[in-house]
Amino acid sequence: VLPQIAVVVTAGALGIWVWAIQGIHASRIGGTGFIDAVHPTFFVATSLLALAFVTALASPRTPRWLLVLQVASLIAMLYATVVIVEPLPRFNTAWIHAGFTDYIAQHGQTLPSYDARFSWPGFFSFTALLSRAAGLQSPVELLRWTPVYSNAVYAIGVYAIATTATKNERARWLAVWLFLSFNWVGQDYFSPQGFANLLAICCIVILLRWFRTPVPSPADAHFPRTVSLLGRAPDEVVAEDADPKRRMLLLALLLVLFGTSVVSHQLTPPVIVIWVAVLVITLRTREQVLPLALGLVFLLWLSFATVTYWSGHLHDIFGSLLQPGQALHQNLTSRVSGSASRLIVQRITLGFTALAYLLGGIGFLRRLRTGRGDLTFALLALAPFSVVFLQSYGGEALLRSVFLGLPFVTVLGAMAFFPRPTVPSVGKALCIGTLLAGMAPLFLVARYGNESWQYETPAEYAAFQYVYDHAPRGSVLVSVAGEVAWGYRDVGKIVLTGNQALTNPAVADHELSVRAPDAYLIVTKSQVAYGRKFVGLPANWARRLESALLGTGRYRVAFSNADAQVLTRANTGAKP
Amino acid sequence: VTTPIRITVRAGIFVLSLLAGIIVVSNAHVGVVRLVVVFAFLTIAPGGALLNVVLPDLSDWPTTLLLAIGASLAMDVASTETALWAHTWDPAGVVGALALLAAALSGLSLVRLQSSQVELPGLRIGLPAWSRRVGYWPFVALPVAVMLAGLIVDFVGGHPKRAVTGVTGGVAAGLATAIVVAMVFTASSMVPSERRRRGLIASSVLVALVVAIVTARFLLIG
Repeated sequence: VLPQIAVVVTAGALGIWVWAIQGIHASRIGGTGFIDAVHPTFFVATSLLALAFVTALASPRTPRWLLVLQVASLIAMLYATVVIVEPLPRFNTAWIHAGFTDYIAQHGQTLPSYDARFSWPGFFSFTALLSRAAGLQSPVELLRWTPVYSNAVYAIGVYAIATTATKNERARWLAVWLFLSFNWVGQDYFSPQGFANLLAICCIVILLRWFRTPVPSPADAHFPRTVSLLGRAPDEVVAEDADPKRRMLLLALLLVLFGTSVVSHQLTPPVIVIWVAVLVITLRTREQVLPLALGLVFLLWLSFATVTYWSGHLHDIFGSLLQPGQALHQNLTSRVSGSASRLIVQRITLGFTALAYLLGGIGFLRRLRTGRGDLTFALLALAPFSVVFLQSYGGEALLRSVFLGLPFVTVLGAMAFFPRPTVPSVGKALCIGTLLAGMAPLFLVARYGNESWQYETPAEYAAFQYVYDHAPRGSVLVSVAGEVAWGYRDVGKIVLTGNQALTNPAVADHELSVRAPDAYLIVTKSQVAYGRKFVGLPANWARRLESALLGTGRYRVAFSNADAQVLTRANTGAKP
Repeated sequence: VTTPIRITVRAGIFVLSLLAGIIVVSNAHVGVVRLVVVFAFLTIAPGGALLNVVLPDLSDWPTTLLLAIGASLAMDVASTETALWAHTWDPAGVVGALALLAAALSGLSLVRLQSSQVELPGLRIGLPAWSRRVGYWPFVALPVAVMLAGLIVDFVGGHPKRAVTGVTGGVAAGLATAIVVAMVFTASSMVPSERRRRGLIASSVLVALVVAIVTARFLLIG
C-alpha cells in the first residue's frame, strides 16, 4: 500500500505547488533573496514531496516511474519555480554568454581578442547552432530553462555514477535527491562550465563502469600501503566485463567527450585529468597512460588555440600558483562580506555546504564499517579542490570545485543512510524525511539568496535595449555596480565599463569623458541592490551619484523608468 | 530493455531526425515547435543513433541516455567547430547533415534489430590485424613534426604572437588525438605485454617531447 500512498501524496504536493506559485511575486524579493517572496504553502508542497519520496523508499517494491516522477517534481519545485515567477532570465553572466552565442550565430566566427572565453568556443558554437537552427530571434530565449534542463541531465548522471558504487536502488535515488537539494552553487545556468560538467560526468561514468579493475589483494606487491590503511575493501558493484572491441569504442567515446570539454571550458578538463589520475592511483583503472594522454590533449589546445588568451598574461594565469593564502582569501574570506542580510545568506550557504560534506563523511565511514571501501569516491569528491591552489579563477575556483565534486559527495551522503541494501525502519524513514523537508528552505536561501540583484526586470531590460538601439558604434556604457545583465547583443558595438561600486562622481565623470562617439551611465535596481547588499552602501548611494553628475550640467537623463535611469552627455547622443 | 522498446526508441530517433532536418532545411516557421524539435534532436538524436549502432545494448537506460546526450553534444560541437574553422558557417547545413547521419544510423540499427541475419558491408568495427603490428610509431612521429612545423612558422613568419590555428592547429590536434588513442590501445590488454612495455616507454618519450614543445611556446610567446 505504500506506493499508492506515495502516488497520492506526490500528486497532492504537485497540486499545492501549482497553487503556491500563484502567491509568489518577484517584486517581494528582499534581503535574503527569493525566499522573501515565497508563499509558505510552497514549503508545504516541498515537505509533502519529501514525505512521498521517503514513503516510496520505505516501500519494499516501488515502481521506478514513481521515483522518476518525484525527482522530476523536485526539479520543478526547486529550479522551475524561479523561472516561472521571474519575468526574465536571471543571472547577468548568462546574458553575457547569450551575447557570445549571438555573435557566433551572426558572424560564423569567434572573437578571441574581445574576451578570453572565445578561446574555448565549444559551448558557444553549439548554442549558436541551436539558436539559429531553432529560428530564435535571440539566444536570450534559451537562458530561462537552461538550469532546469541541466539539472535534469545531471540527475541522470548522478544516478549513473551511483550505479557504479552501490546495488542499492534506495541509495541511488537518495543520492539524486541529495544532489538536487544541495546544488546551490548555480553553475548550471547557460554557461560553458555547466555544459562541460555534463561531459565530465559522462567521462567518469565510462571509466567507473567499464574500465575499472577489481580491488587488488593486499598481498599484491603493487598494493599501496596508504590505500590499505584506509581500509579499502572489495567493491559492491563489479565492473562490467566489456570485450576489447567494446572497450576500444568506449575509450574513443571517452576521448571525444574529453576533447569536447577541452574546447569548451578552461577549468573542467584539468579536473577530469585529476579524476582519472585518482582512479589510477587508487588502482581503480588500469589505463595508467590515460591521465597523461588527456593532459596532453588539454595542453595542446591551451598551447595552440588559446594564444590570444595567455599571450602576455602568464602572470595573471599562474600568478596564484601554490599560494594557498591568496587563493583562500579570493575564494572564501573576500566573499563573506557585505550587509547584515548578505552575511546571513553567506553563513547559511557555508553551513549548508558543510552539511553536504558532513553527510558524505558519515557515509564514507559507515560504509567502511560495513566492509565496503569508497575511498575512490571520497578522493573524487575532494580532488577538484586541488585546482584552487593552482588557479584562483578570479575567486570562483572554490565554487566550481564544490559543484564538480557534488555528485560524489551526495553518493557518499546517501550511503550515510543506506550503507547496506536494507528497507529503512520507520524511525530512519522519518529521520530522512525530516532532513529532506528541511533542506528546501536552506536551498532557497543558499541558491537564490542574492536574487535581489540577480533577477532582471522588464524595465531594466528596456533601459539596456534603449542604449543598444540608440548608442553609436564605439560608444561607452558605464555601470555603477557589478552584476549587470548587458552584453547580450551587438558584441563589440559598445565598450562596456564595469565597476564594483562607483560612488565617486569624479571617477564617473572621468570614465564618461573618454574619447568615444557617446558615453552612457546606467543605474538599475539590481545595481543599487548590489551596492547595498554586497558592498554595504547606503540605500540612496546611486541617487547621490546621479544628482552629482546632473549637477555639473554636462549630463542629462536620456532614459528613465521605474527600475532604471540612463545618463548621457548633455551635448551628444540621442534625444529622449 | 525489451525489443519493442528498443524498436520504439530507434524509430523515434529516426522520425525526430527526419523531422528536424526537414524543418530546419526548409526553414519552416512553426513557432515553439521548431525550438522543441531542434533542441530534442541536437541533444539526443546524433549520439543516440550512433550508440545504437556501435554500442548496442550498452547498459541500463539512465546510463545509456546520459551517454547518448553526451555523445550528441560532442558531435554537435565537432560539427560546429569544423564549420567555424573552415569558415563555412551554415547552421541549416550542419543540422541537415547531422539529421541525415542520425536518420541513416537509426535506420541501420532498426534493420539490425529486426533481423540479426542482415550484415551490411563495411560496418563491422574493429582494429585490423596490421594496425596492431604497425603499432604506434607513425602516430609518434607525425604530430611532433606538425607541432614543430607550427612552432617554426610562428617565428619565421615574423609574427611571434600569432596563434597557429586553422588547418595547422586542426591537423595537429587531430593527429595528437590519434596518438592518444594509439597510446592507450598500446597500454591496454589488446597487445602482448612486451609490446605494451615498449609502448609505455615510447609514450613517455612522446609526452616529454610534447610537454617540451608546449613549454617552449609558453616561454617564447608568453
